Amino acid sequence: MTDMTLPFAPVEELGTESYLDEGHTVMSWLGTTDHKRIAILYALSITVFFFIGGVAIALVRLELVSPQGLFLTSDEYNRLFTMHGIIMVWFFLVPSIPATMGNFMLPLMIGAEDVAFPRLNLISWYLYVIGAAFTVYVLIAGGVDTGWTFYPPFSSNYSHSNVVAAAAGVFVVGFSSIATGVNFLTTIHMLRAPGMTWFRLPLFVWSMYTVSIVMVLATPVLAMSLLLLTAERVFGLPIFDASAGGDPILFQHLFWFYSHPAVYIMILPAMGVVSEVLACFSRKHVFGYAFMVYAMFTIAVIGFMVWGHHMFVAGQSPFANLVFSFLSFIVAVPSAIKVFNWLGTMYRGHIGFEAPMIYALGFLGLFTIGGLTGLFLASVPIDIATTDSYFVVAHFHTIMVGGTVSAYMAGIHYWWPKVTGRLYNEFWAQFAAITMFLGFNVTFLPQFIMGWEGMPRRYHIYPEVFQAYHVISSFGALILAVAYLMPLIYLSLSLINGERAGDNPWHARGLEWQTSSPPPKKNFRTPPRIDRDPYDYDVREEPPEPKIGKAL
Amino acid sequence: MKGTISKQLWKEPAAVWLGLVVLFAISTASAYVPLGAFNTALNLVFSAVMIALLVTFLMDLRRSSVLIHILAGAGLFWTIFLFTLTFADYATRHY
Amino acid sequence: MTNGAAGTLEAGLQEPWPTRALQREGVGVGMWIFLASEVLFFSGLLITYAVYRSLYAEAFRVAAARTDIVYGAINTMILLTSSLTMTVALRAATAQLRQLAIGCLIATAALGLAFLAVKGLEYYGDYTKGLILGAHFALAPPETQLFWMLYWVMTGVHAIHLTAGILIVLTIAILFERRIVPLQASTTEGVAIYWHFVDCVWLVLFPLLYLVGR
Repeated sequence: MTDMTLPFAPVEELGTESYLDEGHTVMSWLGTTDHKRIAILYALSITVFFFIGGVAIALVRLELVSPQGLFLTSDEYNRLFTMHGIIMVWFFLVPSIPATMGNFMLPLMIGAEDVAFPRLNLISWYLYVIGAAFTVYVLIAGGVDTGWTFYPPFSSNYSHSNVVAAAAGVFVVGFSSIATGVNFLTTIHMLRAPGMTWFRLPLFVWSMYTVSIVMVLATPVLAMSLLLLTAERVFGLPIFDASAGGDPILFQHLFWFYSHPAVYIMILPAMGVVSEVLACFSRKHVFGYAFMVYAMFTIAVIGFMVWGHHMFVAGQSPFANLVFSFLSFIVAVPSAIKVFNWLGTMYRGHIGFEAPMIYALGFLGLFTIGGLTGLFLASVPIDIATTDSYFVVAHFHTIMVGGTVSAYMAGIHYWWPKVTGRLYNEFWAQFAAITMFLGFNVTFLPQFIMGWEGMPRRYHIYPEVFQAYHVISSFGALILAVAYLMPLIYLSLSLINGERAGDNPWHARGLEWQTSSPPPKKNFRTPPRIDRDPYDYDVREEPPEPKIGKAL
Repeated sequence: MKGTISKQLWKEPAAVWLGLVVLFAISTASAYVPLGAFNTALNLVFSAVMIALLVTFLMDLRRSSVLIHILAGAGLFWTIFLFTLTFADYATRHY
Repeated sequence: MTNGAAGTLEAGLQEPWPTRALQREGVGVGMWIFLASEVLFFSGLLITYAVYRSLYAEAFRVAAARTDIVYGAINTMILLTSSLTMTVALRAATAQLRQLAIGCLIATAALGLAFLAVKGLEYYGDYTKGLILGAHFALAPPETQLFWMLYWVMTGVHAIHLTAGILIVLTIAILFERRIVPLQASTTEGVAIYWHFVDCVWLVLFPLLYLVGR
């Protein structure tokens, strides 16, 4: 079909200019339709919110050093952990890898000039910004105290905080997700370059595909749940109100129908990044490529069938508990397959320990632990004892921070040379990665233990017997805070005077490495070669010299 | 010349429209026949047929690619998850 | 934004699509994916309806008998006809019949506005019958409030979608008329798919809200 040839812009038009040279004004950024610039807009926005959410929890962890609290009222405490949850989930984690690395790398990886709907892409960023504006308003107006889960009847009838504004912010940013999903799915289906068959796609692209399915199909139900909640709160419409026969558990069904798949929105892209990084730094093909693809699809689909495990003690029927518990055990299987395949990828590989790899290895260990603790929680009797305790808190942070944030950092460092054309300081990057790993464990291992021993979550005042754990955990949070600040410093320095990166400093496979660093506006000056398997690394080939980069 | 082309354009959609109106009339009329719980089920079956007609002929689904067929079914398929598993709770509550 | 290197792109072709045919197919794909998300959006309402109906069947029958079936039926006819005009608009756009295409788009929007007008009258009627929820709600068993809550929310959300559709249809009609955008099938097709979807939603809502308890 002659339709499939994609025009590449004539060489004489492009010279050596990159996408960064195409306009230096603010408007050239705020009005851009270039997927690469939009990726950077997203990256800057989510970084800001990551730190706001981080400040919120820093205050919480500081407060928890004392069993009677130190400087916060209980009401303030509730507002802080709620804002931490809302910001981190919707304004950092959900967009994190897809909107930044997905946006930047997806077209490059398939040999396309841009995503299918570039203007929709820009609109999706503006939707994020509008949602974020609501959230900033909520912060200034005193916060919201319902927990990120917004359960009625507290949120609809009793809370005196800015529930509607917070719900509106989340509602709007949800549509940003949906827009991204629509764009990515259409792009992958329709804009692959000639020769880029489905099973030549890098696993990162498959992860963008599967995550888009989840974003498109789960997010609308969240939107409806928040709409109904708002209608109840603002108009007094009895929806989940028991006095009219309503059922508050129905809200939970609607909320978790999204919010469980949401955690797969957070982990699937991370899995995609990790596959890329592990293959590159083991100098080996990914073990069991096809099963890695099937596993991601299985996770995406079965992930929609397990939401009730968040409601084991809420008042669901025992039969529902049984069904959801069973399905929750099943959904662990594809994830486990992926862990074994990552190990198989590294086995007999030629391992390098550059920063992206340290993060990816951290992911591997922490994702495994997080996943195993999830199995504990999938068992109804154990969950009845540990629900709403720090065991749950530690479980989900292990996956979201130990897993997703580690993978996010791995991707940032792996693709930094491609995006910016500069190298970062490898020593400080490795130091930060190790510090982050240690800080994470000091923060969350005590939480597993104290949760098991009965420490409830979201409690401001707690029994003295748990103080030692809280102090250790808060100290770990301090280490994490320092570790998160380090990349801000050395990556900024890299932008200012980092050594120039070549097209392919890691000698990696993948089409993104076949173009210059940074790429030109239309991504490729000459059509990329697409005639090989995606990970045809040769383990006997010498990897590139590890670059230490400029010392600070 | 343009007149006959535009008349051709109207033919098929108008026929489908007529079919939809007839189905709608029957469905509405059936609501007045006391069939108990079966009424709503019957009405929804009529709705489903009308939607199928609309989608096939007015939205040209029959001429679309396999991909679009799958996409058209995806929302419905996922709705089934929502309904089955939520009713796994509500249908088995004894309180 | 619409024209990259001068002269190499056909009129109406957006970056990064290589051909208009592929672009048209792409718009269709994208719009159907969006519809999948909209189906799930309305499903949130439908599951709420289904759950409460299964719990309170009698209250729902009592409550639903108070909906105005005449207004509802008129509105259904209006929407079905608007789907007809929308289909013809799309086919005319494909055949490059400007007057017919733009005329039918305007007719579609007009029918949409008619729907909203009828709805407005209906809402006013509901208000006078004391069916606004709150202290003055007219019906007896408390669970009837759940039905009427669903009536207001479902028809309200549908109306919002319809309004968005009307605005979009009018916008593209104007863009085509003023030749700001060349009359082309891919834009019209995307809009048509959305419009038909809004009609389909109503076809589900109508029996649930108007044909219960007759």
